[in-house]
Amino acid sequence: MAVVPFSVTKSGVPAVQRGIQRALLWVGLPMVVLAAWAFQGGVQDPKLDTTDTQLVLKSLMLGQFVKANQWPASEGAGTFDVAVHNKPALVEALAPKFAGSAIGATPLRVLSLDKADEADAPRLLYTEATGPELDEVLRAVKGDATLVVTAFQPTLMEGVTINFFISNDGLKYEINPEEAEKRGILLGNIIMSCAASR
Amino acid sequence: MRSLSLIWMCAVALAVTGPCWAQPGSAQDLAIERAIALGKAGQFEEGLAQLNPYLQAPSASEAKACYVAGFLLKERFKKENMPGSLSGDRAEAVRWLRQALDLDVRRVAPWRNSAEKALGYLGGTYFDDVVLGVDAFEPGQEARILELFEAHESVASYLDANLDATAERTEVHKNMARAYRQWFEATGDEAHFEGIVSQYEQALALSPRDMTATYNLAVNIYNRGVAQINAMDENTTLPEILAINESSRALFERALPWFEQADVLQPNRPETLRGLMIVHHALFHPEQEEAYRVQLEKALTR
Repeated sequence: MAVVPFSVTKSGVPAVQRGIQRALLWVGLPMVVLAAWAFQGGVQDPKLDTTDTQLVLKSLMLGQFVKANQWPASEGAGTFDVAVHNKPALVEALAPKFAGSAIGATPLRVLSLDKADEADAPRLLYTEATGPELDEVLRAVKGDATLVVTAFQPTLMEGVTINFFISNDGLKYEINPEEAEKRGILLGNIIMSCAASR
Repeated sequence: MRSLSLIWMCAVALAVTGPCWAQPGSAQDLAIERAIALGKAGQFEEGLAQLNPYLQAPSASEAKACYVAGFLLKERFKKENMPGSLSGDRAEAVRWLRQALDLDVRRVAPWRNSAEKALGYLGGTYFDDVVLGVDAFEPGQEARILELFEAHESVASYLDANLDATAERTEVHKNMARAYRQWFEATGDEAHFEGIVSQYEQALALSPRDMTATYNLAVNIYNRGVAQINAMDENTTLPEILAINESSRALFERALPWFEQADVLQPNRPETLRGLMIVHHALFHPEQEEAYRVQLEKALTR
């Protein structure tokens, strides 16, 4: 009959103590493995995407407002200027997507304006100004063939062709085709058909 | 090898010294000795055949035969190593070892501790298979992984009646959610995204106060909405932009309650406050966005 000797082993640790150590390993090791594995499930995964979704949406819609219209022929202008008033972050979102493309044969340029009168009759002007500041902006492009786009105004003001508004937590826009007509701009069918009303 | 032979020596010693389970020198006792010797020589099938007459309808007097049968099957499982299997030697080993322990009503059998260790080892291998299954996860395998987990849980609960495996099971779901996310990142398949959501929801059904599951679910849903928006480019038409705006909005609204729940579970956590600020921004809620921005500033300066 084989007998496990109860004596001091080679390592100098009694068999009983060695048994305890082994038992601790049996219990402890899986727990360490479980803890390490479970920790993976406990980590933040993935990182929160901090893209400014409002900017992306506005920039894409502005780009389509430019592309989907019938614009009056430019009089000697070398560029098709899209001006953004006081919103440099929107310029950064808009420019990589649309700057350098052409409207007809005219290259598109995206301008960032601190003041509305910094640009000479841009083809599209976007502003989020309100009150007297908005009045000033509208005065600066009065009578120009400029499509004026505002955001979150309570109503479509005179001089404004398109206004973004929020409906059901989403971004919508309303249009004033008469204002566009006054400025010699023919709003594209897609812009007309996708417009919402309040 | 040395430790293996020690295990065998223990098994032989335990089998032969068992005082009241089979009479020394009885046919059963001799069969058990032969089974152990055959098992030691790697002849598991032959060893099991020796025990077979005592395993038909075992009673307390055959408990040791059940234990040795379980031990042999465990050794064969170790040798043949078929991970992921729910039937076969491992399941049989568990069955016989449990039977042996159940028959040892007075809990005095000298082999009891060895049987429990063997069971613990087998339960651990089920858990190892769960970990392997998640690491090499493929969509559709979740039921299989949960079955393996249940096999592990069943053994663990048998050995410790007070065991609560809820936390472990929650971690399994959370890890499968992570695996689904990796799949979704590679494929963009909507079903894989829903797999993420489903696994986190199952984790939260088990552990409603699990902060990481709550927050990660919120982030995964929110990021999906952002990804839809980021996938658009200058060629995306207005009707497409508006449609994507709608679908991303639905995702942001779906993410919001989970961010709010994360804030309830761990108030003023900056990551959650940032998430709440950002999701309200995405939903065009300027007042709430501002309120959470102020809270975030305060949390960061605490």
